[in-house]
Amino acid sequence: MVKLDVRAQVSMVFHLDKCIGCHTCSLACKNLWTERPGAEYMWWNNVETKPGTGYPSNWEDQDRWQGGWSVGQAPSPVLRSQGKLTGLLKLFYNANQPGLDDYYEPWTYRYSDLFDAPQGDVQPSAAPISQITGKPIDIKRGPNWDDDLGGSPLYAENDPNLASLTEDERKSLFEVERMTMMYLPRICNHCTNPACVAACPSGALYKRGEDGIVLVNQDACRGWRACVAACPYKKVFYNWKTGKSEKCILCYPRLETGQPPACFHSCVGRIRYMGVILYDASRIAEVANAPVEKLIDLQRSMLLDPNDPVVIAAAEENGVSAQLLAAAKQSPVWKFVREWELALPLHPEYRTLPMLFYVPPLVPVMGHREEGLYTRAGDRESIFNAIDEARLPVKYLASLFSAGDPEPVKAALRKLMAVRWHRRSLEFKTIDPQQILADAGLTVEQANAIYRLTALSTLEERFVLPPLQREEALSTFGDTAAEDCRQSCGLGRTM
Amino acid sequence: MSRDLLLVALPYASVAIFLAGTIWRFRSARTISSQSSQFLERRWLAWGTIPFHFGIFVVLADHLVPLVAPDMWRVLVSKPWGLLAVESLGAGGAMLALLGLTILLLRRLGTGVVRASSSFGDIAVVVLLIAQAALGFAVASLHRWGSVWSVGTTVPYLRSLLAFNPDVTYVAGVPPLMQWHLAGAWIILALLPFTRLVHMLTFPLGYLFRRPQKVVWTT
Ligand code: HEM
Ligand code: SF4
Repeated sequence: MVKLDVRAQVSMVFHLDKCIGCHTCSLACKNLWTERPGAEYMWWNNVETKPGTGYPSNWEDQDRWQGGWSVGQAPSPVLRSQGKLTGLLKLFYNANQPGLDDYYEPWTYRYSDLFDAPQGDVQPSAAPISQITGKPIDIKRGPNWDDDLGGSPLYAENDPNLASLTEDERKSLFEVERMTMMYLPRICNHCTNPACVAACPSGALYKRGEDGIVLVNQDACRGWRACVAACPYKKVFYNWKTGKSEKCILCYPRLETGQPPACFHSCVGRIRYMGVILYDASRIAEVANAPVEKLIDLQRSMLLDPNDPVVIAAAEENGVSAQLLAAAKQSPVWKFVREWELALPLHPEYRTLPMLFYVPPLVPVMGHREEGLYTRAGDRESIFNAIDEARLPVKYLASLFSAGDPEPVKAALRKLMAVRWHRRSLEFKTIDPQQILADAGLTVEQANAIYRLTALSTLEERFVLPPLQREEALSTFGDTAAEDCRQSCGLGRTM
Repeated sequence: MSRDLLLVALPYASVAIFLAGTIWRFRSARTISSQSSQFLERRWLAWGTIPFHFGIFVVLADHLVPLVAPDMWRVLVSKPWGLLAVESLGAGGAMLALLGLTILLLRRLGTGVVRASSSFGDIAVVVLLIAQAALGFAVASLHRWGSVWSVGTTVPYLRSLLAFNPDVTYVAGVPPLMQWHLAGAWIILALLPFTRLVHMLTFPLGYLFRRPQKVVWTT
C-alpha cells in the first residue's frame, strides 16, 4: 500500500435545507473585511437564489471563463484557463476575466442631499453616486439583483444548470403555481486542488499546510489576475484600487483564537458547520483527474477516518497536532460527508476538490401533482417517489452537486426524508419508520444523530475547532515564497 | 559643459536613481502591481494594451540587440535584406506601440471609471511614453537608416557609458532630436521604479519552473 500523506483541513458543511436566504452571513463578512476602497463590489460570502445566474453573473458558465481543471494526461489534470506558456502570454491581456459589468458598479448615496436640500414641497432624496467615480450614476444592477427570483426572465432562465432539464421541465419550473427556488450561500471552498494557486504566475497564492486555508500573499501578488480566471467559483476578486487580488481568508485571525469565521458565527439559520477533516494528500492528482462519474466517490475516499489507528499514526508522523486530531474525531463535517453521506461538493466536475460540502435541500414540500392539493404521502412508495416529483427536479440538484449523477443527491434526500418521517413517527404511532429508515440506509441511531446535529446542535457541536495556534508560529507572515511540501505537493510535476 | 551634463551626468544619475529606487520600491512589495484596469474597462484596453506591449517589445529588441552584439548587428545591417528587416520591424513596432499608447491614453482620460481610478503617475507614464516613441519615430523617419548610422555613434557612446569611460565625441554630431530621445530614455528609466512601470521588472518567469500547487507550513 502507498504510504498515507495525511494533512488536516478546516472544512465546512452548509446545510441548505436550513438556509433561509437572509444574507446575514454576507453582511457580517462585508462589515468585517470588504468595506474598503476597491473592495466594495467584493462579496467573499454571498447567497444566491437558484435557479439564478449568481455572482458574478453566470459564474458557472465555464465555456466562457475557462475556470477549473480538465482531465489531463495521467497522473494530473490540467488547468482550463492556461498552460505554462499561455499563462505568461495571457499576462498582457486575459480575455477570460470578468469585469465591472459582470459584477456591478458599486455605489452609495449622497446622504448630504437630505440635509442640504432647500425647503420645498417635496421630500428630498439622496442621489446614488458611484463609489468609483464619486459621480451620480444610473443604477443598472447590484448584488443579489435576482434575489428570490427577482427579474426571473433575465436571470433565473439563464442558469447554466437548467441545461440538464428538458424543455417541459424548464417551463414548469417557472409556472407561477410551481415556481420554486433554493438558496446557495457561497464562500471560497478552500479547495484541495485549488485552481487559483496553480494559475498564479507570481506564486502569490498558497495553501496553508496546517489547516488548508487558501490565501493570497499581498506582497507577492502583482495583479496579473490569472487566479480570478482560473477559480471556477469566481471567489478571487481583483481590488481595482490596490491592484491586487483578494479572497476569503476563512477569518483566519478569528480561527487562530478559537472563534468560528464571522459568516459561520452569525448564521441565523445555523446552517453552517465547521470541523477538521484529515485527507490523503498523495491522492490529490489521481482524484482530481478521475473520470467524472467517479469524482464523488473518490473525493469521499480521499478523506480519512480520524479513528483509524493507521491514519492517526500517519497524521502524527506528518506533524498534525494532537488538538487537531482530537477535533477531527468530533468533526461534524466528517459525519455529514462520510458517515452519513449527506453532504456533497458544489460542482465536483470543476475538479478543484472543494472542502466545502452542501447538504442538498429537501424543500419545497412535494405534492404539486393534485392541482395544488397535497397528497398525503402515507406509504413509503410515495415518500420516495416524492423526491422524483419534487418541484426542484433532482436533475437540477445533481447538476449542482454531483456532476449530473442523480444518485448521490437522491440518496441524501432519501435520508433527509427518512429522518423527518422517523421524527414524525415518534408523535404519530400509526407510522412505522423502520422500513423507511432501512430503505434510506439509516439506522435509528443515525437518524437520531442526524436530527440532533441538524436541529438541536449547539455552537460547540457545529464548530468543532481547536484554536489553530498559528499565532505561536515564529512569523505568521513569514516567507510564503519558501514552499515546503512535506511529502507530496498535490500535483507534483512542474509542467 | 551642458552637453556633458546631458550626455554623461544624466545617464549616470538616471541609472543610480533607477537602482536605488528599485531597491527602495522592493523593500516593501505591497505596492508593486501591474495596476490592471481591465476589471473596469476591457474593450478599449484590449485594443490598446495588446498592440502597445507587442510593439514595445519589438522596439526594445531593436534597441538592445545592437548594444549587446554590435558586431553581429553591423553584419546584419550591411545586407540589404537585413537592413530592410530591421528597419521595417522597428517602424512597425513603433507604430503599433504608438497606436496602442494613443488608445490607452484616450481610454484612460475618456472612461469615467478608469479616469477616476488613475493616479497622476498612471497618466504621466503614458504621456511620457508617447513623447518618447514619437521622438524615436521622428528620428527614424527624418534621419533615415538609423540602424546603420547608430552603429558608429550612439552604440559606441552607450557602450562607453557602460564601460565607465564616457566618450561623448561619438554623439557630437547626432541630430538634436536624437539627443532629446536619449534624454527621454534616461528620464523614463529614472522614473521607472516610482511608477507603475515597475511591473516590467516582475515578469514572472519562475512560473515556468514551479509546481502547480503550493503548500506552506509555518509551524
Ligand atoms: C515584462 C513584461 C510585461 C508585462 C507582463 C506587462 C504587463 C502589463 C499589464 C498586465 C498591464 C495592465 C494592463 C491592464 O490594465 O490590464 C500593463 C500595463 C502597462 N504596461 Fe506593461 N507589461 C510588461 C512590459 C512593459 C514594458 C516594457 C512597458 C514600457 C516600456 C510597459 C508599459 C506599460 C504601461 C504604460 C501600462 C499602462 C497602460 C494603461 O495606461 O492602462 N509594460 N502591463
Ligand atoms: S474556491 Fe477558493 S480555493 Fe478553490 S479555486 Fe476558488 S479561490 Fe481557489
